[in-house]
Formats: sequence, structure tokens, C-alpha cells
Amino acid sequence: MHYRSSNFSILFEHKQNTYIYNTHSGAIANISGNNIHSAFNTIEDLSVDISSEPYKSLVLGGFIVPFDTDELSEIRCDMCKNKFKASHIDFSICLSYECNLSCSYCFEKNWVKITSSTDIDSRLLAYLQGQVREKETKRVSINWSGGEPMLFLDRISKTNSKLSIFCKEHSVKYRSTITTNLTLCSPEICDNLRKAAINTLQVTLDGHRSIHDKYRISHLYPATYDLILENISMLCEYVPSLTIVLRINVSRENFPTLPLLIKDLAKLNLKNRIRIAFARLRSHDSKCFSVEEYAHHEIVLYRSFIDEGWSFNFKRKLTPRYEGCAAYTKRSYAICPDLSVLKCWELASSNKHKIGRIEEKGKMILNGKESTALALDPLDNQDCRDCIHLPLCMGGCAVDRSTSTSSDNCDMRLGINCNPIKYNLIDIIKAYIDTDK
Amino acid sequence: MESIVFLLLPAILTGDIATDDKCDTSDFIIPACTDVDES
Repeated sequence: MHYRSSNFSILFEHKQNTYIYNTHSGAIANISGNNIHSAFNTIEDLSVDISSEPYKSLVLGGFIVPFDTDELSEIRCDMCKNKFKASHIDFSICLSYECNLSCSYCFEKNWVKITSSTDIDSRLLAYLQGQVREKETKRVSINWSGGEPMLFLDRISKTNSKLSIFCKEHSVKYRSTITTNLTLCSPEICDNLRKAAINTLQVTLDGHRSIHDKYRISHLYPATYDLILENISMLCEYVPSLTIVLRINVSRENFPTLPLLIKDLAKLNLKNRIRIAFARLRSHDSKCFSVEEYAHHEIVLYRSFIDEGWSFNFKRKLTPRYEGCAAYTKRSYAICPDLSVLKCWELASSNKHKIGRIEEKGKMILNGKESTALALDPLDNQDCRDCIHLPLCMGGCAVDRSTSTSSDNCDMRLGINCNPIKYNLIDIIKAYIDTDK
Repeated sequence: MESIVFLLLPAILTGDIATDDKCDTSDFIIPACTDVDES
């Protein structure tokens, strides 16, 4: 059979070694020997014996493919298979938009503060249990968000623990996360989190104290940086089984302060007890990095933390993301306090994106709009089709596309919403190579 | 010596695609789409 180089393979040098990575397969290999190097570079409609090395491994890694392979069609097939997969369900659930902070940039602050009731809770639980009972269901994930979900932890705890037991009874894997500002914490709250069977907690800092305390505040909480760090320490002590993810929003303004944050985390003995996730602060403000600028700064941050002994899951970043965005994944829903339903939380600012509502007895009534979301396809975009990074981002956030006023003005076409990995992929692979044990 | 040594096997072989078990990864709740939106 005739073979050719994959369109998604990248060859690069690192510390006197040659490596090859394929964004479509996610494989990385160290290749040595001039013959392999040159063989890869010259493979173009070449008849090779794939039962012998090096071609056997080059095929295994997806580095070379049968000559007539349409790799974009393969990616589209993988995406379709995963986006309609029935075995996994992901929910983001907000019981109220109430919050004890008033961050200057919050996109929820002008929303009507609906707080759902206990009647709503029983309807929600009935709906979730119905989803668990579906015979295809193998795994359920819930992210409890807000508002500030700790204000409603009793209600979350009741629903979450009941659902956790229900999933166990039906042999369905269950994971739950709470995304909180972590200003509210006490030994009692820790106990409640443990009883609620919450697996993961995500909290965000907007940089070191001097910057964070300019934004993540309210009249009740004029400063929250030290409070949040104290509360993280308390959680580590009282709920050792809890996975804590510290998201650090990165901006042009707070970047110079982040070495101080690394020191504060070390002082509190949080190194590798918590996981770090960086995120680009996003707006049209000059304080924010462009995606490309952010990508370069993100690598500096990873290296700074690694130098201090932190570890990261780079494998996750290098694994193809065939399921694509939650907004066009069949069994992915964001549930609002009034039990109206969206495909993704990013769409919650407008009623026009609601796809249905959970009614009496926990039955979801769809309004016919879900198909519009499910039909979104990043491969409709020529820039994405031409991009070697496509399998890693699958077009990024679908919301930016669907809310774009015209296809010619799509954020994706402008590259505004591209994933940072477009600009720092090789550095991420090198970090994986350097830190993989 | 000619050799190819895998540091990371294809995701399809390691099950990362087949099972898509994000629950077992450290940062499954941090997709790109959770960037703070200041709009």
C-alpha cells in the first residue's frame, strides 16, 4: 500500500533529540537515526512495508497514513461519533445567581436574581435520576455553579448525595464539581462538602493580592485574596479527599505579580496538594493579553511553577479533543435556577438560546432549538480545516460562532478565539517531555 | 541505531478517545470555554 506523511504531524528538535508529534493521534515519539528522519520527510506516495520498522511505528503513531486517507473526514467522523455519544452526560447546574461578591467584570451581575425553590430541587433530582436510568448512561458529571453555590450548599449537598447514591445503585460513574469564589468556608462547610460527596472544587484568583483585591471583592468583602488562600488551606486539612483546582486568571496587569503568588502557595504548603490551571482574562480591555501573547506568557508561567516543583497534566493538553465544544454535544446541558435549559453556560445571558425546560415530574420539554446547536461544525470554517491544531481545539467555543452576526465576521475567522495551544504547542510538548516521569 | 520510542501512544490506544473519561484527568473542568468573559 502507498503511504504519505500525515497532514497533522510535526517534527521538531529538543535537546539534541528529534521528536515527532501528531495532533490527530496525540502520539509523541522520539526518533533517532538519519534514515527515519529523512524517510519521514520524503514519504510522499511511497510504497512501504508497514510490517517492519520504522514504518510499523510511523503508522501506529499516525505519523504516516494510507495515501488516499481523507484526514479531515476522519476527524469529522470522530467528532460526530463523540458529540452524539449517549454514555456520558455533563451538566452545569446553577441554583441561584445570588453572589456575595460583586466583581467588576462579572457577566452575571445584571441578571435577575432568581433563586430556585425546594420544589425545583425535587423536579431537578427527578430529571437527573431519569437521565441516570437511561440504559446507555455510564457516567454523569455535574458542575455546581452560581452565583455563589456555597450560599446554597445545603440544597446542593442534598441533591448531590442523593444522586451519588442513585448512580451507585445503577452502576453509573458519578463525579461532581463545585465552582466557588471560596469566600465562605468553615469546618461545618467542609463537613458538608464531604458528606455531599463533592469530588472537585474550583476556585479562581485574579493574580497576587495587589491585583486580585481590586476585582474580586464586594462591600462585605473589601479584600478576598488572603481569605481565599486561608480557606484553601482549611479545605486541604478538613477534606483531604477533595481535588482542589486553583484557576489563575492571567492578564497583562497581573502577570508580573504571579511569582509572589507562587511564593504564597509554597508558604502554605499547597505545592501539588492543589492543581493549577491558567486561564486568559478575556475582554477588549488593554489589560488583557491577546491569545498569542497569552500563549507565550502561559509557557513562562508553567516553567516558573515547574522550577518550583509543581507538576501539570500536559498530556491532557496534547490529547485530541474529538468531543468538541459542549455547546454542540448531545448530552451536555446547563440548567438555570428556573430549570430552563441551555447547551452551555456561556449562552445564559439570553433567553433566545434556551433549548427547553424541565417541567413537572422531571421531564425535559424541548423547544426545537437544540438541533441548531448540535448542527454546529467547526469543519465548516476554512481556517479551521487548514489548521494543524484543529484536533486539539475542534474550533474552540461554539458560542462565539453561533452568536456572530455574520459568518464573515466570525470570531473564529479572525482567530480571536483560537486556543493558545496554536501558539505554544511545541513548548507544551517540550514541557511534557521534560517533566514526564 | 535507528529507533522510534513512543513517549505518548495514540489516544485511541490509550483509551482517551474511546472512553473519554475526563473524570480521571486533573483539569477536566477547565476547558477553553471557561475563560472569564468581561463582555
